[in-house]
Amino acid sequence: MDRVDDEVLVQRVASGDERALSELYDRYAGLIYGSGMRYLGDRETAEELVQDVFTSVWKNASGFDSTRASFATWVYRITRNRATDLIRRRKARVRTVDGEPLFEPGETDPSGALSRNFDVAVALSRLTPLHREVLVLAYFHGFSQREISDRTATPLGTVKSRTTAALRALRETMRFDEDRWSADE
Amino acid sequence: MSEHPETRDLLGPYVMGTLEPCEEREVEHHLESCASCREEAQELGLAHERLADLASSTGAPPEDLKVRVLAGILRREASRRVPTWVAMVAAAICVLAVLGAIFTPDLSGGRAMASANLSPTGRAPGAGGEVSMRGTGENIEMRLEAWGLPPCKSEQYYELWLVEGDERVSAGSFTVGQSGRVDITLSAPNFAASYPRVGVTAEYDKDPRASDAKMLWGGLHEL
Repeated sequence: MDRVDDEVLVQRVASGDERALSELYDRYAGLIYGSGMRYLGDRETAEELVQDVFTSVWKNASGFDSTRASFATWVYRITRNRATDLIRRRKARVRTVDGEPLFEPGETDPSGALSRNFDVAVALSRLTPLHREVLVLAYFHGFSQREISDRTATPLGTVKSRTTAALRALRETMRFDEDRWSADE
Repeated sequence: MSEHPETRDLLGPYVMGTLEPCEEREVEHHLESCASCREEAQELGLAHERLADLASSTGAPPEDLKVRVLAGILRREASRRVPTWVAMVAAAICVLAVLGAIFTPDLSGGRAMASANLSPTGRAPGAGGEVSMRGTGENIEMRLEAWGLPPCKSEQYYELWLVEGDERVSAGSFTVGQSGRVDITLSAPNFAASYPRVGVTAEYDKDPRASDAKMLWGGLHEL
């Protein structure tokens, strides 16, 4: 599938496009699963978080309004709410048995780190393929600049300058999204 | 943007800490006297930090999770296209109550509390289902609609569980015939809504221990 914006994919999901849902899964499941492991602490619950988020995306795609929020913001909220719900249920049952105070809802993302991660993920998805490649190989696969040069048959100097250009483009995209959605939160 | 292309092109690997020592010294020496390059290095450093944090927060889900997630969603969608009366008739014919009573759906009253979409496991890849929980005064009713379950063999039945970690509480049992479908309402403990997950296992009359043969599972969400 050609690289299309998340917002376009959500529109296709609203029309029942299963391939669009599959593409969104490929783009965001890793981040949602990783967030689940970080905030919920176990694999089974993290898997459940992934299931819940994409079920919600499928059911509510027709209600997504791209003029009011980016897809990253929308799926972040779904993820945060579902994770909070899972945490609250766990603590609520403890209270039922032991009478201990409830865990306060809304503390799943006190530092905003989860929100920022979704913003960076969508900015990364908007880079050109060459820019995205050097960053993904370096940050997500742990390759050195020389290893990237060898793997992509690109001169080392070009890899270095392309990496700089990619980080610059990422920063510009993040800044554009911050300005665009600054009134949303 | 910096007017020094040679140094500018190295600022990315510089903030990532991947330059050779001699290159790094050259960049640092340049930055001491060039405000524009310092400013750009700062901006690129921010992008680097955000990307590094994203990378550390991203995990690789199990390979089969995508199939389970998407299959669960799409089967649920397909089952909605089956007229409700067909499912109810099939359930009325095929469900044999273990306790000697016949359960019929009765959600005419009460407050909707929670629901769950059920995803299949490898034991029942074609299965799916939904659980809805409704409070009726002091009691809680759990309605289970499921499809695609293997028909029960002799001395076999299915059981609906409320689950948290290794702990589970039974919400009731049922059998399934050739249709593979069930639509029943069971009574649940009054703290049922506090459990985060529900599951369906295949059980055997001759084995008193709770089975680990998980057929369906899902997370409960408050409504």
